[in-house]
Amino acid sequence: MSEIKETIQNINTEIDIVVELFYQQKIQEAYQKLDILLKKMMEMVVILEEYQHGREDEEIDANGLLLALKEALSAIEQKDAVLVADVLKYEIQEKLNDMAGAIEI
Amino acid sequence: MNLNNKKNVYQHNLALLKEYRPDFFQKYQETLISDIDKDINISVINAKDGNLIFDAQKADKHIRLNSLYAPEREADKWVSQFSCENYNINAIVFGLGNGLFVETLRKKLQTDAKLFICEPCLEIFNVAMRRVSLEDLLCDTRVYLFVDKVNYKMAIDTINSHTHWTSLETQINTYHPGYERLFPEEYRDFLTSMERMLRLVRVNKDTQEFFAEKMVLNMLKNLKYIKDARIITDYVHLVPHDLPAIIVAAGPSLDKNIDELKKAKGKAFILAVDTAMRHLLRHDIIPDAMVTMDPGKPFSYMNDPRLQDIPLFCILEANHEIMQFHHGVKIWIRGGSFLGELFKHYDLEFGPYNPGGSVATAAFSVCVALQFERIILIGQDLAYQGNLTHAGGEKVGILNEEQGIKFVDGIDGGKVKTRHDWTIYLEWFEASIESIHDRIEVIDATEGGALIHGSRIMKLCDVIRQYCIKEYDMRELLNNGKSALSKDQYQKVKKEIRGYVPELEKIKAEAKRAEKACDEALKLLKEDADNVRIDILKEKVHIATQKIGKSLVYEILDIYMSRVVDKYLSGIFVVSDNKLDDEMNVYLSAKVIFQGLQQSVDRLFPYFERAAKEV
Repeated sequence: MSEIKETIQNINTEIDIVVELFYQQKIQEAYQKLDILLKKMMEMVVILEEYQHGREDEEIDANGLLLALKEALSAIEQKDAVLVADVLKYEIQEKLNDMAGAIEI
Repeated sequence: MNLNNKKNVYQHNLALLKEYRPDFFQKYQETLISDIDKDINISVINAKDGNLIFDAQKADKHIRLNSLYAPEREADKWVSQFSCENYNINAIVFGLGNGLFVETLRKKLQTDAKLFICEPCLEIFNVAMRRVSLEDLLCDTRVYLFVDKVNYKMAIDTINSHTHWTSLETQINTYHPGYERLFPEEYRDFLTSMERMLRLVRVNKDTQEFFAEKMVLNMLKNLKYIKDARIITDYVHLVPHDLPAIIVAAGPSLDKNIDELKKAKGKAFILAVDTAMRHLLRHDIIPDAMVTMDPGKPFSYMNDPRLQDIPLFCILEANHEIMQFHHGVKIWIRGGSFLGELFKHYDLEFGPYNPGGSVATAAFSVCVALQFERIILIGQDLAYQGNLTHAGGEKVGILNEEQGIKFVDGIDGGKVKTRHDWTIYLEWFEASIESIHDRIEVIDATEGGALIHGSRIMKLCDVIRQYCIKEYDMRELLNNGKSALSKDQYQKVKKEIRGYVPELEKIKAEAKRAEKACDEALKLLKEDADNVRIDILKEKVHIATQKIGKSLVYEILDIYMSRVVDKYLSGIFVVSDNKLDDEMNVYLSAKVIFQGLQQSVDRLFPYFERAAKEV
């Protein structure tokens, strides 16, 4: 359980770094880091789904996270770097924090 | 202020423009009547945090210029990448947007910084004026605002005039997020102009360092000509602007059409650069005027008695031998930090003038300053002809020539071989032509060499047939001008110049005191960095610096010292993580500068004394 929380914290830290790079218009570097980050987040979704089995009473919205990730992918397709950063910071990170809270409970 | 009250915001912004930027206000009012940009549509939307943000639609591009969620936080993060704590920053931002990015940057800059905002789209500025309070930006004297169709063309020249090479290391050069995609061509052009400008700043620094001693000795030896000095601005309204102005440079192609030039005599303003004079005289052509600028120009180029009475456009730093040999009317084309300031005391202004880096670019600027409507270039090859560099079959090399060889578009199609310094002048010509194309036509009648984009290509014989149709004696007009200084003013200037000798003594004493203070501060910083006496010493150095800097004589000493002290000034405005190291470096640099100042006073003292006697 604490392992999942630690992973979420690490991902959150990496999100902050990527978001800052996007906001600073260091786009190429940001996308390189985002590529690695997205893989980590997809792995995270799988872990969360597994974790959810038998814990339906806990409010872990793995599906919500998946939807937010899709939103980020759509922003990437649109080449809207600032929107990618926005979604990472204000949608994905928010959901990750909610999950970390739910796991704690 | 209620940002949602559109009328209030607009009226308030307009009132601020009128009060704080009256020239801009006037031009903006004129632009509003004539120009409406319909290529772009700006929507103002609410971000999730309540801020107003801009959404741009241009052709098939749809670009939001701020974060949809938290634009203020986005702007903070954007600004955090810049080292705003450095001293003497010039921050140059391409794009105003809704003002949020530049305002966030402005707040972080030190009081000695300058912020140049270059907005390539009038419509965005209009929307910002209507929807966002720009109060803090408009009222801040550190902020320079350039907007398309209003004053955008002045941006690079203004930035240039505020850029000293010592501030290059701390310069912030950036763009408003989104602008690089919304205005890719404008941004590319802006970057190109900035690069050219910065290259010239570096070249001018190198030139000043290289010629420092010659420049200053020339200045002091040429001071005696101030009595009869004419200044270029006095001629602007006397000149017949419709007369074609032919600038004769000394490129190899001059040999092709030099004799044709005789037909233009008396029907054009023929202005020759110093290097071309020998060739013209060899062909018995006497121009209406000449230009000389270089402190190190060989006297042999201008030592023919036939040129002694031809009006000469010049600067104070020009070779004193040439100036002494020449007996005719001397017209000063640029004031610079010394002469310009000295003449300002008597309400005499040289006006805007951009000499470029060569005598040919200076000649071009003379014709622009005199407001000729048609300028014709000949001998302006800016390229090799075979291995030749100049008319008369001459080869004149430069340092590291081989490393700067390039191929550029030729005037006859194809490519021509050029070198580093000519490339800089070529770019300068192209940028200058672009900035004046609405009022001055530039014809390149060189008949060889590099293609100067923006110029019209014609043969000299055709130019003469078509445009040299009116008789006019420009030489007479230039000779008839009167001295810029009245008798009374000249007496005052003479007194002022004679006062420089005792002033030098004072500067030396002040520099000596400041050097001692630096020594003591350095010792204390090593032994007891918290000692309160350091603050007293800092103030002493500050006061000495201010006293010395106020003196006009210092402008001359500053040039003279540049070769010695420039390396100590490099990076002086950069702040590191180690405050103690920074302070030590500042005192060490200051000490070397104060020492250099004392040595310069000793070396130049006899020249000042002589100048005081001769003036």
